[in-house]
Amino acid sequence: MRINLRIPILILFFLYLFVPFVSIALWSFATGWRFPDLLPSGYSLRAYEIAADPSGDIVQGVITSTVIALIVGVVATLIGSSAGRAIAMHSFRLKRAFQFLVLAPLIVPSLAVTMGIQILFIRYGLVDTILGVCLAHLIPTVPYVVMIMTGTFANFDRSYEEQGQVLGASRFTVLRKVTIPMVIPGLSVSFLFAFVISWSEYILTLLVGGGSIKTLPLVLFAFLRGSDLPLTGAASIVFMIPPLILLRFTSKYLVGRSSSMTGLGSV
Amino acid sequence: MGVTSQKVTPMTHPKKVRRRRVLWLILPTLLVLGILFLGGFIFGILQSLGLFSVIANDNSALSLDAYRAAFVSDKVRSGLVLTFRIAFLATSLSTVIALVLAISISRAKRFQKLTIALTQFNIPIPHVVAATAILLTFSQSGVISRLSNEIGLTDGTSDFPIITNDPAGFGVLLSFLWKEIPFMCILILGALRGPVTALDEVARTLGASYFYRLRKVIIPYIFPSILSGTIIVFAFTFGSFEVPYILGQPYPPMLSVATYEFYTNRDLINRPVAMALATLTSLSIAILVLIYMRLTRREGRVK
Amino acid sequence: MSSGIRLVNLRKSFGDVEVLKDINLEVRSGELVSILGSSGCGKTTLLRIVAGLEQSSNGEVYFGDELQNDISVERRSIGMVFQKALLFPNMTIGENIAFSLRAKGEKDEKSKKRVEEMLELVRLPGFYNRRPGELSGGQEQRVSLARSLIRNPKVLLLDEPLSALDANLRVEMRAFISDIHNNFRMTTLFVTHDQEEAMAISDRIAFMDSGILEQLGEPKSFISAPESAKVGKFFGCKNLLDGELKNGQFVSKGLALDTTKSHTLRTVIAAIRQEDLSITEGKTSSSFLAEIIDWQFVGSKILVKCNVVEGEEGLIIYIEVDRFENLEKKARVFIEYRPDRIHIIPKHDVV
Repeated sequence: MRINLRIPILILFFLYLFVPFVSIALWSFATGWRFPDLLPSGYSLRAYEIAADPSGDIVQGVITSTVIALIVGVVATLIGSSAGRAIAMHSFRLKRAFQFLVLAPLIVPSLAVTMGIQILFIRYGLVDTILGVCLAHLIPTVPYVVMIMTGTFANFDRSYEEQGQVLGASRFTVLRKVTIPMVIPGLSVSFLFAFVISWSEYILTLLVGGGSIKTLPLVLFAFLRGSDLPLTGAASIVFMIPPLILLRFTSKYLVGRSSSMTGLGSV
Repeated sequence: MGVTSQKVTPMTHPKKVRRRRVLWLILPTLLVLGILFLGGFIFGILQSLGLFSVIANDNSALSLDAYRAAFVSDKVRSGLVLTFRIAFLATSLSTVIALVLAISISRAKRFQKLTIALTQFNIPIPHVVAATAILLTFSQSGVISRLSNEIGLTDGTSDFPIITNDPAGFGVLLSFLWKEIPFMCILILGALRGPVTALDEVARTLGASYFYRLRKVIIPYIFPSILSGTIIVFAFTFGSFEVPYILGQPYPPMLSVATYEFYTNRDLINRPVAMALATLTSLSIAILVLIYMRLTRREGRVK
Repeated sequence: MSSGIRLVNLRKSFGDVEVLKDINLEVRSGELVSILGSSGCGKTTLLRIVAGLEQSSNGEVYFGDELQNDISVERRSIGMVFQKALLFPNMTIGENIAFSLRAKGEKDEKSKKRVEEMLELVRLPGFYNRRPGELSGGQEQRVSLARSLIRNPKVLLLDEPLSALDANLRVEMRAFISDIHNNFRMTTLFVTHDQEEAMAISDRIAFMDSGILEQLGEPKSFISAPESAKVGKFFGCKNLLDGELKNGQFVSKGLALDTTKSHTLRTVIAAIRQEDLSITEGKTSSSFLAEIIDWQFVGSKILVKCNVVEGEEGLIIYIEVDRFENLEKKARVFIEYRPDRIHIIPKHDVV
């Protein structure tokens, strides 16, 4: 009996997950799509041609977003992994307080923090700069990295590193050749989260970027206000692709026998 | 913390070296989060209390005016209720559905890999795109409406129920669920692999039926992971800006949208009110999370 | 009430790999049979099929006369203990033991008494309210045992329950399991890779290698009468010689030994246990000359490696002597054997 119910429910669920994609895709290729037509009245690549225009907003947005998300992804992963290692493998004074500090950004909306800090950003000339935006993006991303890497390092066997040291390798070589390869799954998932969060971030970029740093979310928001739905659709599709590509490469680490997501299960 | 940290600090180096090493490890994070986050948060609180006013010629003095203004506003009060309701629904629904889904998937013999791959798909999609997609699909002129019009269930755009940009926030809820169900599902699936399967086998040899095992062995074991996930989802949905901005209605506004409106209001006197709202939002989340953790301490495994 | 186990033509493949090949085994009611073999021989898979945790590709499992194939794990009357105790971390010891009773809907009051009884039985009185994290490895396994025995299953299955414990504890627990078995007289299958364990507690041993049941019999027979060179080797026989039976003698590479055994086949393997050989002063009616090559301590005895002088180049014999024996390398000694203790194994074609 369970089997009979399971399939239609699963189908319904996946329809819910995927029909919206279809909607966006159809709109992006449509020349016109009046109600009550089930399908667009005509198709063209107009929206994509506009999107691909090198001087256009979308291309600018892609470049800006990519640069920022890459920087944030790498920096957040770097500093978050170090912190994760410290939490998982060392004991130190005020460790509890540090853990609390790391988790707090998950509870406090980034809007609250960014509003608070905007005056300081203005004072130190960080608004309207890529640097400022990157710094702001670190706030929501670093906690995720720390959580994931804490989980990874909690299962980490230090004896491999000790073996390397005993064999005469310098600490840096051990890091490079022993430690990092062993935690690649955690690092990949961390980078995925950090990149995607930065890539998707709207309000932080708006407040700190001052509107002059145009990332894709801002571009998309602007299109939504307009009435060019095909363009909105095309922009959305473009917006989705890099994260999906990243997912493709890291998905094996998301649900595996030693899933890197276990770190997230330990707030 | 739920994660068991290794208890052994390396004894290969003297204490001073170790301490310095730990310091280097945590310093970058400490600086970034300490200055940017803590600084921003505290500074925001201070501004909400009237200090550091941006208005020229204003005597910065400690006052609760901003909070008073916030509480007086109908907009804010109904916004608080709405935000709580939606966050609560989003969290509980996504958790329950994800749990059912995850258990279903973990038991499926066929197509398991495919199902998991499909479920992961939504996770990296930006919330802005999610909101846009939901808007295009479920609005009165959306795809679903057209389908329903085609098969005769509804007649025209206005006959289709308003589920996006609606006062109840249903569209917002739909968008949240669209992303959070897959997130929770993958989280739970991760927890379902590993030691739990061995425990489940033991329970089977002891003659326990599926539902008994679920209730007494499996769910208690994966409970900490579920707990974590729900806290993340609740905090996020409560404080989310983009989704309500796209799919919500001006009245009542969800708290983050209201905060933003106060903040960007031409009249700078509203700045502190925005800060007050932001602080209130954070406080609400923190309190609710604490209550939640207290309530659920009885369940789950004792370490 | 315990019942016997009957395995008929059991076969199991994982994809292309055949893990179990035509296993036929009958365990009498109340018997403790060890399934012994090295890792990868299929013994755990076999046990899991009996439990119902795996399905066989072919063949039947009977408990007594009842076919078990279509009965799911939960409904089979089994008790199973694994290598790791796997106590439920969210329950107390008492709740763990009572689990199977509560799963059937029994009320707390009734089950509590039974649990106390079981705790007494496994020598852990008063542990009702303790938690799994507080127990040692041995204690955990005892709780695991109590947990599976409490509802009187027809069959008890033990999957290397002692392998995770350290050596001394293992010997202690082994005796404990033996006691429990004598008490309950429950039909038991005990999977292990430890030959000593199997020898100590089994009524019979089923020796497996590469998915095949090589030999089934009483412990003694594996020492005195191995049915193949494989078995002989596993049970520590160091002298397995290829040769022929001719005129009441076993002949191998120039060495001729009198033997009381005869066999229809001519090409055979002789299994001579090193402890059945001894060094004598001079030549006797059943002895041969050998030159000492080397020796080493094995436990409290000495294993001596010798070159048989009468035989062809490179015919090596091992003998076991006590620690007081005077040994010199290259010394020539007479080795005495007992014709009735040469075990003849028919030589089959190599599979």
